[in-house]
Amino acid sequence: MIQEENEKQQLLLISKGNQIAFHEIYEKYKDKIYSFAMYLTHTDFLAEEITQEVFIKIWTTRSNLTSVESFKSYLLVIARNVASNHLKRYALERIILTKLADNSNTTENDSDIQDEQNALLKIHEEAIRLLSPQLQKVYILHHIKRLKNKEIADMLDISLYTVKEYLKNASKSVRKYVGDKINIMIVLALNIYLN
Amino acid sequence: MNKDRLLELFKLHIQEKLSKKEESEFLNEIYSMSDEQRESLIDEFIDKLPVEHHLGKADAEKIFRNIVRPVTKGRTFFVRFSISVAASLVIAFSGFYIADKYYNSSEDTISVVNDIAPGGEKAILTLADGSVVRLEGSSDSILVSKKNDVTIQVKDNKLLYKKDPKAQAREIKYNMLSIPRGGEFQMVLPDGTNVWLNAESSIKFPDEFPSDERRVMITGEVYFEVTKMSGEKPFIVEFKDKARIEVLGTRFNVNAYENEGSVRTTLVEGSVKVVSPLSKNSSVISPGQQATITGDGLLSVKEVDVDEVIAWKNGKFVFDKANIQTIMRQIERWYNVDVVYSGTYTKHYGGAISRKVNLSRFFEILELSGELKFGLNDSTVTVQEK
Repeated sequence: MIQEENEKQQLLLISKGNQIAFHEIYEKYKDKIYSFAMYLTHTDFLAEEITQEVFIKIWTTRSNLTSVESFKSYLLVIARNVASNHLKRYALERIILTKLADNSNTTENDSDIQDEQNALLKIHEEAIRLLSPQLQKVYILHHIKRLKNKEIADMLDISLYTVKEYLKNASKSVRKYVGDKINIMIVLALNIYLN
Repeated sequence: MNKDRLLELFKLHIQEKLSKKEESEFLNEIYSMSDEQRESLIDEFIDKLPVEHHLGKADAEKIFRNIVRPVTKGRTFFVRFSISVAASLVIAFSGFYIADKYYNSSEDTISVVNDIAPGGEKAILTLADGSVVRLEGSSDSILVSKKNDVTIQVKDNKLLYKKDPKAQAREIKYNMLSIPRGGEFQMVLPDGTNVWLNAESSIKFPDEFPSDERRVMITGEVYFEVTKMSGEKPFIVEFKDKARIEVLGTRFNVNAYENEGSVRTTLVEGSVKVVSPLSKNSSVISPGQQATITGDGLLSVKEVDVDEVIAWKNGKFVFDKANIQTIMRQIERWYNVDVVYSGTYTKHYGGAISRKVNLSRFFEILELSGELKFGLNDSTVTVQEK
């Protein structure tokens, strides 16, 4: 009962823009969201991105918090929506990268790939080609050859941390490039990349 | 796919235990299902999994700061110049003063749908062998290339060229850094000279300078802080066959956008010689002076407000008695939009605005002058003077 009253009080403060109260709530729930995002994406920087997005949604619409009965259920609804979008995007990226991996083995691509995905494949390939040599190597080893970060680190004789940083930068760069291109190619109704 | 199968695959995905075939089955299903279906799938798990992953303290704090950061960064507009009204000009200064008060008291707002974010750190590097690398700002150190005796990397949002001092002299190879619209970038040349490039600009430079001179070619707008070298090793900036600037060690800005109609060299510190190859005129300018070379090669020198000229490098737009076309040309380059004009424009505007604001905010501020009305449709801007 006291707990509930406390939370109400806290939400009221947050709704008025109190960052200290918001930080308390963030501390309490951040790992729950982060953990779930890790289960979904198995990638730390994506999980960080999801966590950030969830709490940004809560913060920017903080005036709504006065009418929230249970913060946890409210949080989980927002997290579910954010996670759902990210999962869809993650799935598409993995599908494309798998296709790229298969294409590099067989000479000709199968004709039943839809045009949409074909175009996307091309853009993605282009994006990877534009990466600096180091980033490219790590990106391909991870996403296409499916090596574990540890294996990549050993193979290239660089630290595990460097591998992670390279992967993060490479993925961001690829996403940005693909996103920009699709922005231009409005023919593609893949607004999943546009967010 | 039936629900039990989906749940089973989802569990395997969480444990990273999907076989290649199962993964493809799972991903295709996830991608093609409706948003509602995906959401209800997530609902099955979101509150049931143990909290096993933890954000590191530093990461958690960084993320928190990003979360509570105002939607538009650098919301501090300022008014810094004195009003000197030339009788012949109609100057709409008032807007900026109002804007300053208005925004400092207002709450953060969420950006509207039809809006354009400001430019950022973006560049394309073309290496001597013709290979192209897209660059983005990064505070982390990223190795771009290491060939022969030159190391190229991006660090602290800068492109860095480093030459092995023990290297032998060899044939000069040119590299080019181009900035698209909506971009800007900073780099350090092999001699340590710092270079800031504005949107829609480029610099061509050798990956190591020969022993007698340091020569680079530019387009668009570039700010230089040239490193002084022992002995005579002049630093030369060329813009096509239109302008040549010779320096020894100094800070200056060159604005050579084609659509600005002239090449303007503004000196902040030191001394430079500006040459117009077309008319064979030249002039040595001092700090605070600006040399202008017009399309037909005429060279003239005048005193200017240096802070206004190099405001872009410091993350600001500063205008002083500027007409709307002058303002909008900068907007076009920084927000990657095109402007359509209608009617006549006679008024002049002044003020300062952060380059980090969204386009809509920029318009709001100018509209507060009561003299202008803006519209945005996709990436086309319309502007009318009232």
